[in-house]
Amino acid sequence: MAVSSIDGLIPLKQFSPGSAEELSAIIQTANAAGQAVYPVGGQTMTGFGLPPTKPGVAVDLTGLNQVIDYPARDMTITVQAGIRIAELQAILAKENQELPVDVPLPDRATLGGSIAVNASGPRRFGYGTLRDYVIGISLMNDQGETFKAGGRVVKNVAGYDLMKLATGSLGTLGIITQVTLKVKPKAGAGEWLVLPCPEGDVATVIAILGLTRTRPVAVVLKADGPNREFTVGYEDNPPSVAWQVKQLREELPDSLRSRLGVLPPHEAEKYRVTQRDFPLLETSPVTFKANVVPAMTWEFVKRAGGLGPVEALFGNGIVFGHLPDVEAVPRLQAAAGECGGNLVLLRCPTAAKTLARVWGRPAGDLELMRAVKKNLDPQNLFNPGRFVGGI
Amino acid sequence: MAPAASSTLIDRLRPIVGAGGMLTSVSDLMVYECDGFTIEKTPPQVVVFPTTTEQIVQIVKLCNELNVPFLARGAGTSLAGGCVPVGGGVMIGLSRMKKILEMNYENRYAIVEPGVVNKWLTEACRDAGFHYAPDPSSQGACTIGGNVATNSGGPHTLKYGVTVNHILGVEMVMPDGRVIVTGGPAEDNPGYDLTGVIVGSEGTFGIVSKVWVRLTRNPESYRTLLGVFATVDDATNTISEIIGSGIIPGALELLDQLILGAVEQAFKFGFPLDAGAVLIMEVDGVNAGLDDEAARIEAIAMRNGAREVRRANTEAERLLLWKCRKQAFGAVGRLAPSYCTQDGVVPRTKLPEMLRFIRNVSERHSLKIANVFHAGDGNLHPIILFDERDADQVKRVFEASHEILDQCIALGGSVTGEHGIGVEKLDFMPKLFSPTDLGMMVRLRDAFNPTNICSPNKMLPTSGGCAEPSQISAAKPGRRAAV
Ligand SMILES: Cc1cc2nc3c(=O)[nH]c(=O)nc-3n(C[C@H](O)[C@H](O)[C@H](O)COP(=O)(O)OP(=O)(O)OC[C@H]3O[C@@H](n4cnc5c(N)ncnc54)[C@H](O)[C@@H]3O)c2cc1C
Repeated sequence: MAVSSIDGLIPLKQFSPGSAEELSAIIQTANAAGQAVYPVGGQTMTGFGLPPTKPGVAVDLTGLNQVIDYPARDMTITVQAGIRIAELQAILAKENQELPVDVPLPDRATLGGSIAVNASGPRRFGYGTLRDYVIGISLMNDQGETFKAGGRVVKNVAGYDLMKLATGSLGTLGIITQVTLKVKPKAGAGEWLVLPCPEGDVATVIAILGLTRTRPVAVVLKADGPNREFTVGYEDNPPSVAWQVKQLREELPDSLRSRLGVLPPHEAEKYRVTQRDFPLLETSPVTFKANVVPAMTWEFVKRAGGLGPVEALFGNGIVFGHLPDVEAVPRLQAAAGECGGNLVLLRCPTAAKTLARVWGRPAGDLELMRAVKKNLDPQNLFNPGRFVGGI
Repeated sequence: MAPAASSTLIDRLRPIVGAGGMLTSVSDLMVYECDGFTIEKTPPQVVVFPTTTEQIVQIVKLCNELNVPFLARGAGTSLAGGCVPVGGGVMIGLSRMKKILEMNYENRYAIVEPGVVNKWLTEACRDAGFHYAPDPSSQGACTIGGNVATNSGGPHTLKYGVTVNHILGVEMVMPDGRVIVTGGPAEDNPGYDLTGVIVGSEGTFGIVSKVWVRLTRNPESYRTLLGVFATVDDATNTISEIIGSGIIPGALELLDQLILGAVEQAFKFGFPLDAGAVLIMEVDGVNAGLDDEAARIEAIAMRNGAREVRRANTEAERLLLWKCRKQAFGAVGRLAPSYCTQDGVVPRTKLPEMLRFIRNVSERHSLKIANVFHAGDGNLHPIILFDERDADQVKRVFEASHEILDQCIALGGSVTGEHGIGVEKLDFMPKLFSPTDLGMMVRLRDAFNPTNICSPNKMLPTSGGCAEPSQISAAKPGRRAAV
């Protein structure tokens, strides 16, 4: 699908390579012409980051979407990076397996794009994030050469872990072309519970969930206007899940227990989809992602509340929220800082973008990040200017 | 022997760490000429034991000024020669930086100095119901700094992941003396995941001086089973079927007959000595779900020809079983004067084939090979028994090791699952990676360690190609014992 603009920049040309060879030729030509290369996946987060700083070409990677190898009994899969997440999950589901990362808008998002932005969702509390599942990776460098790291086995320490480096790199180090993932068997059972909660009881619920004998895979707090609602997810084998649901009920005080609802399967699915896609809702012009120290999550939500809907992933300290404009951003960034973390904007009108607004407080290791970028992409070919510190 | 340490170097180091914080005599330095990989040896010029980050900074700056290489050493349990000071230089021992600086249960992390021993950390948080998940068999000795550098695994990494999945951030003294902090208690910090790439960099990116580790809640309960099998094949088939059935055990470890004999002599657990192999199969989690899983595992084992499946009925029995497993390497000393532990990985469904190959190698080279390993991950540890006084045996040990590792590659695996490349496996890197791959890795290293003054000649071969042994010995003095 053609991309009309990359955060304000009209691409000089657009390509949709169907093979690594074609991609290589595109990169070499752009490099020789002094143009930048802007990789594009499912276009769910094309606007993330600062506006591009150099004219260049757009490369749509959705044509590189083949499954290379799926030895299901080894619980690994090797695929080209342009595969859509939903398609990947459908292939895994046939073997009763999954990649337990709740990437928003999976029908559109590609695996490569998800890795580049380090997409995650509610179940990260129980299962971790993409960095825990990418065990092998191939990228294409500024010369159009493929380089790889890791492998196809679940445990491997040969060579530097470029999988970690690429995850969350916003495509600035090279174009991700192929990925090997470790996958999981689907849990035998799952239950999703909702608990509407008066503001005054939120702290009590958090304390109970912090000490509960149960082991939720997701704890989400949604705050929208005056409403506060927890969702708690359990996944394991059936006896374990049944016990956990009963146990959580018992751990809640009477007043809250009566509000606790177990969602029937189709309702649960709807909830999960809504929560998964929440960060990319397009109902307001500005969306933030805050990352705070886990125990400060509620404190941050209180300070951010009232401006727009917020979804907090408890246990991980991740808070997504929508805002009508950028006015409150500096204040929220200060609050995130006081809560031990940072705040970035996932979405923001191009005209309102500044380095500080989009990426928050610069990290102490920024100089080293610049050195890494300079060594791996010396011509500043890939997504120039869009990442932290203007990398 | 390395040249005597220049008096200038020692004189300038003394005010930094004090006379009691350094070793300089030839006999003291001999202790530090190698780590758990004893085939290659070179003593450092001097060993220093800093107690603060600031002291490390001063040591590193001095090394830069005098152009002397340096490297970190934790407990020296590395099995890949990560601590061999190739070309001499200054060894920075972290064993005196052993404070646990903060335990934060509310946020599930701890901040520790690099010399903290892995097991101390788990012991320190046991009463609060937490543990530090990566549990290498050497956990009673190895340090968190060493674990970070090698990205260690252990029996329970099958379910809980390796070191990198549990490190939130590090403070590191860079090879030029700058101090950087990456990551921290908050997840998803914007920017490159430098923490993730520092873990597993085998000490070639700098000296890690502080670590933010994740703490994991203890499982509510365990079921620990011991499957007894007549043959190794029956055991490996059981492994494939357990994993294939959708159960992820907390741990799945195999011990073969040879190692069982040694372990039984040492710990008197009551292992059946006529068994071809045993599997330690542990499931953990919410108690309510475990009987089901244990029953399924037991049925799979029986279906695959297990003679019997025993259960650890008490916590004491469970702990003894794990002690037998974790100290199995130590018990090997009873079998032969020397042994070489290999570390290879294959896709788990290839385990039966791989173990048959190892048996074949053992017969062809007339070498006894014992197996005790992280079976659920496909991570093999064949232990080749020999007598290092017999040059011919030593030669055969090399050949056997190389054949085994080459076969791991041929089956789609890797030459190291957790011990690292170090100096031991440099020659295998070009077999796993193309010149472009290695070139990009060199570029990455250069971003951290551009002059290669920090732990030189580790992890990445200096040339892209596959060097012959004779060239290696000429180019790398630290490697002469290898050929
Ligand atoms: C009996 C036995 C059993 C073992 N079992 C396992 C196992 O189950 N799983 C496993 O993964 N490994 C195992 N090992 C290997 C070894 O214990 C691990 O590699 C361990 O992580 C090394 O820790 P250490 O403190 O001894 O590090 P060292 O051996 O001292 O150092 C290892 C490497 O790390 C570097 N390093 C050390 N500290 C720092 C620092 N602060 N900053 C930067 N670099 C540093 C060194 O330069 C070196 O390259 C075993 C070893 C033995 C002897």
